[in-house]
Amino acid sequence: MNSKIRSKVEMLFEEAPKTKKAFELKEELIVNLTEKYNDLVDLGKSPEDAYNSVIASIGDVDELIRGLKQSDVLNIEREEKERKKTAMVVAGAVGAYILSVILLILLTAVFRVDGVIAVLVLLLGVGSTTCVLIYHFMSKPSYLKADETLVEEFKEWKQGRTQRNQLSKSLISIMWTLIVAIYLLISFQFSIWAYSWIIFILGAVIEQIIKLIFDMRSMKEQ
Amino acid sequence: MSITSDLIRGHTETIILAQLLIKDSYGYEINKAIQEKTSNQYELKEATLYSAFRRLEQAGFILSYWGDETTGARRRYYSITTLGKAAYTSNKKDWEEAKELIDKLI
Repeated sequence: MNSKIRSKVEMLFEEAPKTKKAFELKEELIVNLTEKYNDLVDLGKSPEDAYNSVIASIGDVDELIRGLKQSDVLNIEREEKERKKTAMVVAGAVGAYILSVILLILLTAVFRVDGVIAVLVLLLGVGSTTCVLIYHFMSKPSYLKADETLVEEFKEWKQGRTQRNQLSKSLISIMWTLIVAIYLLISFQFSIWAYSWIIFILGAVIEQIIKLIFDMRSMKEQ
Repeated sequence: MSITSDLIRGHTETIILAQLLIKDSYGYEINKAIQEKTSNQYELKEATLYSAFRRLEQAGFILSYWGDETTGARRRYYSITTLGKAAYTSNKKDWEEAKELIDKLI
């Protein structure tokens, strides 16, 4: 009979937004209705009568759902803002990475600047851009567990995972920029264009190793 | 009875605050107390009760927290804030004044 109350409430909440608030309200309602049902049965009502009077006492659910939708609007706006900021930071960072490489080519090929200095300039650009990226993703508001339910734990775990994914992605992108820099540098310096491309194969190997390390770490945590 | 219900409806929030003044409580317990106090003559609908909780919470009159029941499902408890106590006192005063006036008029 408890599952009957649950499925009835689930049905009533079909129109409700799928938010944490709605989920909590639903659970609260189910817990209280079940307790009421048990009391009625203890008082001698038949399960059928008890169920019917419990369902009848719910009243107009639309009122509750309207309230949930109103508070949901605020959440959506905040998330929208957060998403726009992330998009801007990522776009800026990608732009900065590309500019760093262009700068390297310009410095060595056009201005004939010493290779070491040119690479230092590139590393400075790549390094500071990466700092900005990592800072942004680390300081992004993390999902705070509101209570100890499984769902909350899952949400937190999921977010921890995506944050780790972001970190490995940033590392891989730094690695590739470095590879391109080193490739250009040694090729220009020593004119070994015929062999220097091998570094890209090396890059692919390093990428797989980074991914493997992150996968192994998340496996260990489980 | 339906007229009485309409008259009481405007005081749902104050009724809940009055219950929470006694002790922290959860939805069903509050409704049960209301039923007992009125000798089964009055009971809030669940939807009305929980809408009122949300409104009171948004206004900062009550706080909610999850209980630590070890067996069975966990209840969401509510407790009254200082702001809520002040709101209760002022609502109660309003009601006393209205009651006095209406007694004189009808």
